[in-house]
Amino acid sequence: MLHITDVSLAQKWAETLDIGTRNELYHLLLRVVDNAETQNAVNETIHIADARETAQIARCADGIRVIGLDTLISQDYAAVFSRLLSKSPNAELCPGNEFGCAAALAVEFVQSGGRRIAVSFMGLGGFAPTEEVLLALRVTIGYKPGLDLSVLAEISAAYERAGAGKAGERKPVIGRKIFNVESGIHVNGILKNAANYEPFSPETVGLRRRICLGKHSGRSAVVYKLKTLGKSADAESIGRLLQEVQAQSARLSRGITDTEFEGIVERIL
Amino acid sequence: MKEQRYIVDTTLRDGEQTAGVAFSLAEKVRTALLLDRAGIYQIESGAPMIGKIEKDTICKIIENRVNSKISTWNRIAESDIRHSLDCCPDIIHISAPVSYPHIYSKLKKNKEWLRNRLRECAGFALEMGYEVTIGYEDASRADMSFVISLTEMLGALGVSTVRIADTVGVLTPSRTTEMIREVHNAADVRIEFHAHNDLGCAAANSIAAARAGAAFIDTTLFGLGERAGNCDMRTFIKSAAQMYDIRPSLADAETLENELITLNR
Repeated sequence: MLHITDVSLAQKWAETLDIGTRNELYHLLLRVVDNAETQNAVNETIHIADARETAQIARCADGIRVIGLDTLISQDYAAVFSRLLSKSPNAELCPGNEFGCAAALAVEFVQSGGRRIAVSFMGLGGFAPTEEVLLALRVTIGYKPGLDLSVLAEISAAYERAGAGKAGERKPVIGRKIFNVESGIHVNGILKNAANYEPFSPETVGLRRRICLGKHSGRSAVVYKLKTLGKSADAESIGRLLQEVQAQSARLSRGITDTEFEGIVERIL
Repeated sequence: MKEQRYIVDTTLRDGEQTAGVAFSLAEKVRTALLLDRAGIYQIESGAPMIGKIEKDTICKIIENRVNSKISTWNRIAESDIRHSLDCCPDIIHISAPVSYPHIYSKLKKNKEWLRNRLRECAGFALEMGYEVTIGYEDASRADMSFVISLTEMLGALGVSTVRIADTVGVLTPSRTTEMIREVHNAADVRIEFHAHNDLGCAAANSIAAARAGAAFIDTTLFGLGERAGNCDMRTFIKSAAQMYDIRPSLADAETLENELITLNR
């Protein structure tokens, strides 16, 4: 099992903020995988659990790295950040993810004027997931709009191959199934304009959208799927196909595969 | 004494909307029983307009309830609400897309149409004697002055609660805080917040919403939901229980998920 130390990633991330190309990002993150076990702690690291300690820290030299503050979301984080940054403008924040709020804290820190954050790919080691922070900064403040993030899917696969960790199917930004869509309202909205129900396009992060059929499907999805089979049908037949898709999905307690749909089409049309 | 906050569980509605997820009647009824026993304030049980099986399921859930309020999900259509009436829920929830992309490019209607339709639908459900909550779909990308004017109208009508939905999961905690405060100040209605986890910020945004005055927070078991999911119940409770009087406890939420895993194995 690969263990990635917080500090090594903090160091690496600080570098990523200043790079701009897909290749550099890719190699940088892979290097972290390769070298993780040999990374040594660097100096000037302070582990911190209580936001009140930041006042004390602020008196230290500039360029301090603050690690922890897992519970900061429940406090006045904006005030804590501004106090820290007013004394130490180059302070680096590496929020801990014990409460599942590290990505949001990293983003808030940047929006408060913080210049350096430390995060880890997939949140390994208990930190803010790199991929979430990158997308959140892209979507909310347009950070580095030219940076090609489609490499994230490849990095995720490389991490899995290296045994570093496996992203869940629904993991924000890199989960294999996050752009699968089934419900009638969503499919209909996406076919009109994908931005209706997607915060960023699947291609942005190297993934693909999949229109799925199941209990929550509507007519648009049936029409769409028929079209991919090179077929069309009248309104009445579409209604019957939809009924069968919904009933079969409810019976199986899962979605309907493309092959199963072809079977339904053959039986009904 | 700690302030109270309430969980609205939407595992059976938005959670089930996850592509590839479909619960059988028995699974939904069983899940609702466990949610009820854990002390969930409100269970969003599904959308009666989907069809007969969904309706039968919802009726069974309502029949079994002890502690929880059971709500049903409706589009802004009187026909949807009539299907809900057949189930006699505790709360009728009506979802209205409020962002311009949703109103103009998805519905292909306009603001006036939406306002009138919403007034008619909310008015209809209220006249039938129901508690009505209104969901602002895609509120995070909406024009706030429009959202506020809708809230004033709905508050005057007698709607108890408005739900701010971050439908595509693009909010951050500070933006969430601003939005909740603005809507809260607009009218005398209670605020509910509904997060999605596209940017990994669902739990943080939900905490921010609770701190800004949202009394109700939507969550799902296992963080199920469209795309990267909704706000995961356990993650939210873990932070929220330190600040608020809230049910279930973290231990009860964990037990609940474990029981479901065992039951559905």
